[in-house]
Amino acid sequence: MPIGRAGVGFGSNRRRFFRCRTRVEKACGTSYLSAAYGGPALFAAGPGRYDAGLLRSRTGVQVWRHALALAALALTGIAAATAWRAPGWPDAFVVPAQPPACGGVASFDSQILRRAAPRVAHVASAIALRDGRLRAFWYEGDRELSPDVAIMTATLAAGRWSEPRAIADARSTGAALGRYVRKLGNAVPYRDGQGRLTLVYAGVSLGGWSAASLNIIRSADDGETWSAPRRLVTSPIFNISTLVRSPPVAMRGAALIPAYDEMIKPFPQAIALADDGRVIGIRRIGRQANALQPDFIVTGEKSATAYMRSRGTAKAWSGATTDAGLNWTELSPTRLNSQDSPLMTIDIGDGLLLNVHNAPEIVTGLAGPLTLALSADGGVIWRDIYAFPTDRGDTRYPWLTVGADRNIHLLYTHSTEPGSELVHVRLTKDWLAARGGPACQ
Amino acid sequence: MTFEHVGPALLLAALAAAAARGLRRDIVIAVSVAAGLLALVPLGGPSIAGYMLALPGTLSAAMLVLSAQLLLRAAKAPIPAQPSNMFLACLVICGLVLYAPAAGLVIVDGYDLGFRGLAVPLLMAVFVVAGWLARSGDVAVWIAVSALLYVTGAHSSANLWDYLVDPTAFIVACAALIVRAVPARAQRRVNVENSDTTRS
Repeated sequence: MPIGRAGVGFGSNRRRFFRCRTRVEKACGTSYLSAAYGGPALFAAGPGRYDAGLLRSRTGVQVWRHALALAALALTGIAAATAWRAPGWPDAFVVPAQPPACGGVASFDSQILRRAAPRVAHVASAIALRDGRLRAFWYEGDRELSPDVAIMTATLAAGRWSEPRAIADARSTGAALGRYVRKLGNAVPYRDGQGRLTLVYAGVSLGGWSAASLNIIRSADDGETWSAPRRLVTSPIFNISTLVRSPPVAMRGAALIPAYDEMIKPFPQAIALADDGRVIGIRRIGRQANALQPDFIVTGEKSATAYMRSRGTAKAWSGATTDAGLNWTELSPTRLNSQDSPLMTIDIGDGLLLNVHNAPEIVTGLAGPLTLALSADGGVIWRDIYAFPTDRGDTRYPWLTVGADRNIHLLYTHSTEPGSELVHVRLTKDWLAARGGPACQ
Repeated sequence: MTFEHVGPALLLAALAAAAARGLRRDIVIAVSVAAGLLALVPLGGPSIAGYMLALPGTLSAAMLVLSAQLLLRAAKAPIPAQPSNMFLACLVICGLVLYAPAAGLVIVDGYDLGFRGLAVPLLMAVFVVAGWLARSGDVAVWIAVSALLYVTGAHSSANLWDYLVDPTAFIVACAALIVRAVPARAQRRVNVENSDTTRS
């Protein structure tokens, strides 16, 4: 006796099933399994007539559907366990290393690090090496965002810069990542928790800076050799529009990278990067837009201040955190000039901050010469102490760092039209003292 | 080559199969396999898949499932493989949560939730249950593949959102839902289904 013959109660159930199925499928669309319910064949069987195979098929399909959902739930549970165990946001900053020290000699030495004209050398950065040298990085090419741009490096020893060499270019980066990379850009170095020299640099596949994404390379020998590039995923929108400009700061088990997004209106971000090279968190700094290129000053285990350039306004903005970068205050304008140009600030000890920024140009009010400024109250009041003279071209993109010699090193771009050159300045704390800085005992 | 290249290769295979769908089934399958393999061959630099990783970028599990469905339809597989409305709606929900804040248009940032914690896995479980209730098996497949890729670290990202959805899948889902929402088109589909059942 075929299962489903009228008399065993399937006739009215079949009509109800048909109406229900039509309503459900109208609402939710055809699913994978609808035909397996025996679709057309089922309803051609006539009221009360069911083929046993179809009924078994329907039951089998039900089992499959439940099994699939259970399997998905089980895998979701495993994913939940993995996410639960994932590294949390780092809980504290590592208070920075030695501030500059007085050496008894007020010294201000300037030299050309790299004369690239008519090509462009731009956005220099530097870090102290363990052997006492200073290693600088920059990008160089026919022009900004040209396909021939390479990331260059050179070292300073005994007051002289070595010959520069390329450590990454678009072709080698793309080959290592297995994807198309057309141009490279800003590179910033830091030392991770395991002491390795790490370089974060921007790469562009299509378009301009607003389509940049970040990559890292690592060196265990202070920059002599480097690992293959690894891509950082920092945005859900095609992983583009993230750039860097300022030095990352060390945290427990991670580094906090000052970054910014330039997709629509630029806004600043703090990216937590674990020592294994994986991004473990991204937090927006403040809620305002049109602020970019943040620079972090660590003021305590859990506190830091971010100074940044603001697009379209003359003053720099700042924001602060008291929970190791997890949350930031709203951005507010400072009394520091930036003229919509990059600036950089470092802690030089004794409660003092040293900043370099572009002062307003006297005639036009636009970005003028690079200027050093000091603050003795944590960045509220700033006093300009020195303006760099320029005979031609503008000076921009400063980078401040303290070397192993406990002196202050400043690198910046001097536009020579055509092309540019990179300038290195070494100044001592004694020189700052002579300019109204902290007195040397 | 990394696992990230599989997504673009599968998408290319599906698009090739769709372009050849009028031909015999075995030819469609051959074309799709050839296109998929060709996408992985280096062209004196990156492969086609490598170029596709530049745009649209690394494809999530959602795009893998959508590509597989397109491939099955084009190859006239014996199971229907239209993405369900529930699946598409889930993708749109994920996209709305993610993309407006990521572009800086909205302050609340959901992307950071994907790095740790249970918020996104709970959402995934809700999707599975919703898909089960709506009899949309593709939702379960999508969630299962996402979870598997995340747990195995198949991509460079440590963010669970990147395994769930990508902008391409979001755009496809929005477009598909808009097209399906057009009343005349929806009515024609129902009429065709009813006439099919009457004829058989």
